[in-house]
Amino acid sequence: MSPQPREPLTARQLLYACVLVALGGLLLGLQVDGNGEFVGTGYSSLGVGALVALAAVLFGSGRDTRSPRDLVGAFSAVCGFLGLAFLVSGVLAPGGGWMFFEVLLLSIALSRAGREQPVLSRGMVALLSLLLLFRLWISYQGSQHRWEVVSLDVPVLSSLPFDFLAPIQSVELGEFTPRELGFPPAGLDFAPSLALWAAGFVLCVVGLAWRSRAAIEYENDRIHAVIGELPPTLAHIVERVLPESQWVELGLHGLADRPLRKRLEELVVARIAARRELELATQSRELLGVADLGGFSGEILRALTQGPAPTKDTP
Amino acid sequence: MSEPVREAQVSRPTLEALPVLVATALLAMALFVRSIPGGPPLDPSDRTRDRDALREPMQLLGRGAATRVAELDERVSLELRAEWTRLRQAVFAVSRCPRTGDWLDTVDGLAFERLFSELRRGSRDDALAAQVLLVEIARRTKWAPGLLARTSDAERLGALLQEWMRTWGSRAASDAQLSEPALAGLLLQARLERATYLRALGRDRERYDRAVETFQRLLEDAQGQPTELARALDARHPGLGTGLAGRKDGLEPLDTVAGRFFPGLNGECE
Repeated sequence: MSPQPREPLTARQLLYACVLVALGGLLLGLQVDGNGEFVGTGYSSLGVGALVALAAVLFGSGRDTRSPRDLVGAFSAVCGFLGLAFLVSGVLAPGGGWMFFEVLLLSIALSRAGREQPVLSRGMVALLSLLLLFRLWISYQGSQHRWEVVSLDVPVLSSLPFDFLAPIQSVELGEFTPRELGFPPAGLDFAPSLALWAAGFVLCVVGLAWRSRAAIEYENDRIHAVIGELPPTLAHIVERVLPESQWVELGLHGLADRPLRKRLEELVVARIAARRELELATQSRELLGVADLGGFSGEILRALTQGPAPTKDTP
Repeated sequence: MSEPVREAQVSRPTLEALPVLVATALLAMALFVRSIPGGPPLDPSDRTRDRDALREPMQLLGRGAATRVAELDERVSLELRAEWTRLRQAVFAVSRCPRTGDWLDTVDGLAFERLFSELRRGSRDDALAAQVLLVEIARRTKWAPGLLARTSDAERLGALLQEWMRTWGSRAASDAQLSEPALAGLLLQARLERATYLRALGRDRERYDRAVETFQRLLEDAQGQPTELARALDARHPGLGTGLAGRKDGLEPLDTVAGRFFPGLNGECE
């Protein structure tokens, strides 16, 4: 079996993740009306979703200078942005005061999450799932012509069989209107619409999470390729000095070729210099400026000069 | 250059192009589908006319039914035709407003019950003929309970209509000939049911719950979502087909519309 080159594989992963995101976006953009026909969910919610995604990108990665460096990376970034917009528009209440409250909540949460990797952390997925559940609940209520989040019966009063008491027999919490829900003119067929939205949500979340991982691997491959231009022994040393697991933190991702090479040079020089300095220090007690000591200081000194103390696990 | 690497380099653009094309097409569709407009609810009277369907079937349920009822003679199934012709003449000749129960116990009344049972299990023309007779009996006999809450007449009539709705309710909603009569039957049934549970003060709780359950079976599926009949009702009268259990008196709005739909059909032969 011939070995598969790594770079095309990660590029394909990135693109397949984009396919999932796009398919999820397609499902989240549809609903089924009372006539049994597919109807669009409209552009207003998508517009709001795009604004929230933009806020997440701007405020979440304000200090981040990463940007896509080739067509695959750029396409993936566009898919990532659209996927986030689809996802947010899919979980938001379609209109009214509820939507603006949710927009505020999501903008804050996504902006905070954007500073870390990945944007869709477990907590964020849980929050989005809760918002989707809320949307499904109010859609269900609306499909039953109940225009409130919940109706609570007033004890005693609600059991009295007098119609004139009807206005005070129950308390409606969180009222909304059919227009706020963005229902089609023929009404919503709840069950198939729920299936579409739930499937779209899952596809978008999985696609975005996969894209996020694949994007890191794709960038790692690019950096590997640059390091691979060095003679093999030298490349091996550079990868030992700058382990792949630190490349995101070291700001190597998203750098153009020339700045990437310069950054690698700087990092290698700095790390080798630090190592040499440390080696010199450990070889010279005078340089450390300490005498034989006992206790905590002695243990530290012994670790620097002789290596770690043997344990029961080490022979 | 080794062979596998060369192969990979040759095929890479193709391998990448396919998902890019698919994803681009899906993204374009995801944006486009959002603009698909929803059509208005399909009113039963707007359904495409069936070539064999009787024109304006609602006229046969109205006050002027006597002028058109003979049109059904040649549509009713052959084996029932003679009985139908005799009984429709008898029904349209009922006068002096007898109590419904009393009339149903006459020779003609018992024959009507037998014929009704046969007709509702027949073709859609037979079903329409059955409903025409039932509505005419509701119009020409007295079933209003009055102050003494004599509900047995409304109950007998309501039970017959319930049988018809059980047989045809779901099928009729999408039938060009029977969709409107089915909605009318639903409204009349609400009127009859209310007559059985309303009292001078309040209502009979047990009968009310039973009536609501009967309507929920007609208007809601197992998941609590509106049936096709409920959607047709909503298209004609927005808000009537859903949320039955959420109302204080779930059938009151249906009864109110029935009053407009069947003017004078109040169990008092007015």
